Amino acid sequence: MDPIKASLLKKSRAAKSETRGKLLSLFCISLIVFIVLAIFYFVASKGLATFFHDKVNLGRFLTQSSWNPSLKDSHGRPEVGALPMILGSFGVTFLAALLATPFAIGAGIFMTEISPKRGEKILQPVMELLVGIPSVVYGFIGLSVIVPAVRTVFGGSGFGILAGTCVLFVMILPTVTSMTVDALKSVPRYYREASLALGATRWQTTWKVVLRAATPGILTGVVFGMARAFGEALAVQMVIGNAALLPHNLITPASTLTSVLTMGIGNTVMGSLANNALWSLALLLLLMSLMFNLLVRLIGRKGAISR
Amino acid sequence: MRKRGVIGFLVACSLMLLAGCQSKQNGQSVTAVGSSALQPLIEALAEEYSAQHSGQFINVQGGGSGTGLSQIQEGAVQMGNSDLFAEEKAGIKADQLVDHKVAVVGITPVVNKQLGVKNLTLTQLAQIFSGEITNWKQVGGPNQAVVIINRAQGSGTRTTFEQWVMKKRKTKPAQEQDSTGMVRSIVANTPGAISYLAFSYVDKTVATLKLDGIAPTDATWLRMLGQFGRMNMFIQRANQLV
Repeated sequence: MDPIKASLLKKSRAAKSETRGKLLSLFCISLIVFIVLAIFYFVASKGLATFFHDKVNLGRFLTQSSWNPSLKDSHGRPEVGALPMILGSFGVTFLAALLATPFAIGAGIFMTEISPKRGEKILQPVMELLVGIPSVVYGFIGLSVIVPAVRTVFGGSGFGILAGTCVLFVMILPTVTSMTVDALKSVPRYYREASLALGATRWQTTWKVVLRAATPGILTGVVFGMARAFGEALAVQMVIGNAALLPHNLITPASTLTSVLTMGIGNTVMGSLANNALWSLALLLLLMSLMFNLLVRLIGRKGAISR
Repeated sequence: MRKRGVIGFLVACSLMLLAGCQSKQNGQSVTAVGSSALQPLIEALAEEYSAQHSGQFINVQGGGSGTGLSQIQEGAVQMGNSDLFAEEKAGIKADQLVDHKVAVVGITPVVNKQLGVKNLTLTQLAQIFSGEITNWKQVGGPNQAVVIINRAQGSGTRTTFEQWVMKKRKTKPAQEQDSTGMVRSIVANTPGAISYLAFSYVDKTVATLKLDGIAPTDATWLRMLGQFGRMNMFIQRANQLV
């Protein structure tokens, strides 16, 4: 066989390394998918055991307000009412997002429309720094600064949703801000030019054109921030007080799904009701973060800027 | 060449991971987990042991008695520390664990230093934790709301406290913290706060209370031994390393 024919029939080195590369990336991606599925299966099997194995009513689980998995109420049913935690989680999440959004939009407009140079030089590094601070540091600052401050200003013990909101506000601000900046930057230049050509002032352009066009992107940022706030455990646990009580106001101790999980999971025995009930909370968390993800996709699909 | 470099790096990383797995299995390091009330004692012992036996290391972690019992049951650690007996914790197979009683420790109610309340009766204490007393003036203190700090459910200190103080009363849902140290620092910083601590954690930052006129000192407490806390250390049968 002549060498030319042989080289045509055999796989070239480039083709071989191409297959190898494909296999490697396929292996990596399937490993990730497998891990995600395994986590889902594990959390779901444990979390659903509360309802199928221990016969807890799902409705009661979601609407009752006394959480005492090791005790039984007068009817012999275990006291696993997750409502205080669910309300606590949503409370701190929404409040933190509500507080962070105006700041994020303000910072975003400053960094893209008003003073891009200074924004890039000062605000950008500051935001990146905020992302890098570990959550336990935020929690510690919250415990030693925010909790006493809330106590002196509003009374009570200082632990509660308000303190949790303040800590989460600082934690999600960089996420929301950087996504807002991206959204504002991706507004096409000719939108601004057209608006200015029609005689609009810079403020009118920013308010009526740029912000409107960037709304879906900003909303995505807010939802991402909320997802982070919802899943944050340690910092919130340190300042919220961890009392499984329905929150009456913002300064009484409350609890979140994550804070009850981190407090309790080590203290319970695998397979017991108390443990399964905690896994149900974890399942709830997982479903919520799934919902946040779906929401992001929905917003992205509905509001994509058509060119 | 660059790709080679990346693959080489990945291989090196996975080798390191494997090496990490191996060094864990050769038994030079023992992990003790559980009761934070027992933790100071175990830490001191571990330090002394490591000093005498070079190369052997005892890793001491807190987490609460429930953690100690559940972790030793699963074989995740070599020593479980608990101030509950294994039979007292639901879901623990006590017959599979070896119980070594190593120490007893007292539990005392503590309050914030500024409060000024020095004495409570056992009934008053129970009423405070059940939520019947909500202001310190009801027990002769200043007009200040009571802030209850509890330990997490499953904590040995809390279980012992509920067993001896609360008796049949139900504890009011209140703030919970998952370690004794955290409880102490919160009681020290929160006006009107009350909680309970193992003797080993009492220091100048918090004020102890007399119960029915009896001060919580080692001497008075030793006389009443058997009434309050006790500590156990569990070693799973399959894992008897020490």
